[in-house]
Amino acid sequence: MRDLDVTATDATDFRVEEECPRPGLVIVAVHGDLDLHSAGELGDRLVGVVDRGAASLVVDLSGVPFVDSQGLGALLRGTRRFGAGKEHFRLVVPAPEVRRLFELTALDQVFPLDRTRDEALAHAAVSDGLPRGTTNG
Amino acid sequence: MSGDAIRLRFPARPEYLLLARLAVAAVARRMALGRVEVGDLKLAVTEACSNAVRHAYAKGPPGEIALELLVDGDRLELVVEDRGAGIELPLREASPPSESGGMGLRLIQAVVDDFAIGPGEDGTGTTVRMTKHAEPAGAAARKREPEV
Repeated sequence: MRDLDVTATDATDFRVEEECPRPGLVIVAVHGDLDLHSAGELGDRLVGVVDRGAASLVVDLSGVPFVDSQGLGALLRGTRRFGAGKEHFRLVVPAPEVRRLFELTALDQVFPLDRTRDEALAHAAVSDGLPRGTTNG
Repeated sequence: MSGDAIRLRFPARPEYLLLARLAVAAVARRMALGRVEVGDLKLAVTEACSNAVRHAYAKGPPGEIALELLVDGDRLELVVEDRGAGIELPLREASPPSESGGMGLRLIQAVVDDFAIGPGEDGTGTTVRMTKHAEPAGAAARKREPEV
């Protein structure tokens, strides 16, 4: 019998998209549930982005309705890859139920959380020594 | 929907965790739980099932997870069972958050009202029992989402 692929629907399709709005800054936009099934893929992508020389990384979880401990582990892999430069790692987390997970685990003290991508980009610009508003191009 | 019981069996593989969440979310929403409380229950069931996926059948043939949702008035009991290798008690889950996980059971304890883990009734496998009492959605939201 053919296996049922329960992730093969629009509502639950997991995907990761990368954007590079200016040199050194990479935005990783995540879509879909972040759990044991998808955490490995995200962790690998984040490590790859850092290894390719990203100076600042914004991970946008606006399209993520659910995160579990495995998902947190993937995000930790990414931020730890930065080493001493981890202040250049920002997370966009608008959903209250997802933010709650960071609060429960005290990881809101580890990850700088923003509610919108614009907020994160403004903070990233400050971290990179750029004047506020220098978030595009 | 008092007295309702929903039972689900699925392969202990990561791609089926979503199925457990969908079932829990559907039942929790029918109990008029708030958005954060539904999220809490999805987290609890995912952590329990994920534990079974990662550990229960790691050293043997693939197996199944049984999920039971029992609704009794404003009380929802979630039971996650596997027939795998079993667990070592007492639990040692006090490790800090790490890349490899290890915080799943602590998260369950944080989001449900009652939690128990142990071997199945016949002494094999692992059974996780979690209970949540529904609160009016407005009250729960006020408690969990203070004004910033």
